Amino acid sequence: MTSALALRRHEAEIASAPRWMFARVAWRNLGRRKLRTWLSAGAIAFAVLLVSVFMALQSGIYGGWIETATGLTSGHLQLQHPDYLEDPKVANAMPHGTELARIVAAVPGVVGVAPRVEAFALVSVGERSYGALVMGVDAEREAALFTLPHQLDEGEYLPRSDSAYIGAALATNLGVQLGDEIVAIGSSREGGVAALVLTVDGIFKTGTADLDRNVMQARLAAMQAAFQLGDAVHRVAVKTTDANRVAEYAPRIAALLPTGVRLVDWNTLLPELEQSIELDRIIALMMYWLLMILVALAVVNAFIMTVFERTREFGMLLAIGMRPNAIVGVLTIEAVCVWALGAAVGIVLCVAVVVPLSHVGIDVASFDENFKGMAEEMMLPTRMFPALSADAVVQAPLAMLAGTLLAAWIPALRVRRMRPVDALREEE
Amino acid sequence: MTDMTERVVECRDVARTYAGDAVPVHALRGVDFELLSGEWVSLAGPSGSGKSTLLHLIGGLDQPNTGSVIVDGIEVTQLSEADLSDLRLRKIGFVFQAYNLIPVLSALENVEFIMQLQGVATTERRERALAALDSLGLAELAGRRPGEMSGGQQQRVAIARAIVTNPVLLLADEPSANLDTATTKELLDLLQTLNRERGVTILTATHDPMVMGYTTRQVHLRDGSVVASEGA
Repeated sequence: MTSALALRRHEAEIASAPRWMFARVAWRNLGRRKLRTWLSAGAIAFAVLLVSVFMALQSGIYGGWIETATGLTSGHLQLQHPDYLEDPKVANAMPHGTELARIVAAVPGVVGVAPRVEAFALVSVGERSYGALVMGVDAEREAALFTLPHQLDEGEYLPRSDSAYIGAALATNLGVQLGDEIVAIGSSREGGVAALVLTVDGIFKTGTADLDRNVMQARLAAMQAAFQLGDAVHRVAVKTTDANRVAEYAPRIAALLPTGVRLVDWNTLLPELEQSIELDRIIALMMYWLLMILVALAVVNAFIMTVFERTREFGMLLAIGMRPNAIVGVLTIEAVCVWALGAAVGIVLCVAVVVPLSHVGIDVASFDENFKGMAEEMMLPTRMFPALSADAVVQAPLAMLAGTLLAAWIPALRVRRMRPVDALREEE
Repeated sequence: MTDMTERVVECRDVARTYAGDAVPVHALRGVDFELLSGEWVSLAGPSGSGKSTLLHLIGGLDQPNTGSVIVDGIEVTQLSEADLSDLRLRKIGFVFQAYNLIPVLSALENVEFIMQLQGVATTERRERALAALDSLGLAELAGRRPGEMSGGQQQRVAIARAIVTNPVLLLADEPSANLDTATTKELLDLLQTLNRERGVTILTATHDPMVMGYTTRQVHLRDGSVVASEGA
């Protein structure tokens, strides 16, 4: 009677599990060498944490780079004449610039738009002349959306209809100061001479030699009049809520555009930025793989130990009729369990580190005073905000899964070549 | 079930040589051996006599260099590794010298495990495992893991695992090697009951006279050859 009761009690205890026998064996095997299991899982967690956090930091850095670069003048998207990117001549302008700007500004996700005309002109003061890119801008919109108007070294940003805002190096080359008069001469849309007489009301200094030496801004209306463009513009710079969501916004904007207008994203406008990010990403990826290979080697070592220690047990399992592949299957489940433990710990730690930092940021300038000065001069952000993305929390764990499985299979292959009679003699 | 006069095992001119460090080791030299259904035979002899090697060959754990090993009508030497696994799983029960249970499973789970390999349905698997343990007086220990049981209890669980699949042959390699005298007697009484009452055919490799005293026939080996056969 007692034994029947005991049997029923035990039967009830295990009622939920027998179909998962292999998984149960694998899971319990992890408890046989707890320290080794946790060392392996800890190594995986460390790799996942490190790679995920650095990917999040990278993502934040790239976001900063993109915002800095696109925030200067280019914007996240631009409307252009279809030929303007390849052939930026005055004649390649889009008519009805005001209407275009109005249409795009109303699209959800668009923060603001800035219509512009551009022309290469000879800028002269007395005997001195230098070639420059003269941009006609809507001063209020530019100031609201972009950083160039705020890079004032002296004076004000286009306060009057005939104001000029010029780069510091160009001002030095021309020998002009605030209040001096300058003349810009170029070719109008119709091929005639376009001339502008402007007063230097502001001088900017970005730290980017190309801009400081070659760019000058004037009021949009003055430029359109001088270059006989009417309401036509060469670019409408568009700023959206998020540079990373440009692919989402672009189709919405493109759907509203008339023929003869091309939508260009920042990747096309700033190819060198895209290439820099890609290069940085590849270098980082190589480091990540190196780290993960080192961790995988540690896991290989742990599994080699496991297989050697349990050789006799495997011999017994082979002897009672378990197929070698089934034993490899159990070892694979063990590997997946170790990986799952490590990956879970790594992801949780990553989220715990990155989420708060994504709100408060990391004050990079506090690490190095020299960097602070350089960053301010070059308009680089001094506070870095890591960005937790799906890539950051998925790629590293998946790569570690592949590494862990490989690490388990290499020693597990020994089981496939194992002869039960030899395995049973181990440690005898 | 196999007929009482049917040959469960038939070995003809079986030889097994291992590559030694310096010279080959002739573990078996042309052994002829038969085991009839319902017999309990002990392979006896000193260490190195070849008794374990013969047991391993009959169990499909190893292959002879020459000769023929037939188990329940199947020529073992002709089988692939996969078929050998299947033969061991479905026709042979093993009891090893050092208990050899899965340490992370309970007694009941250890007995169930082999039926899981056979693909026996969950409910039937559990019922049969419980019945096997109960028949060996292990019902109270069903939930215990090997580390929580004595050597004798573990060996009885190993027997339960070996017989739960109703094999045509139970192979026991030095089953009493790690047991004290009282426990050995309990174990042998149990095997005797299985042999006499359930007709389980048993082949035991041993050098323990106490074990030999229980078996119906003793086959003595020395230097890889059968030198004598005693009993019925």
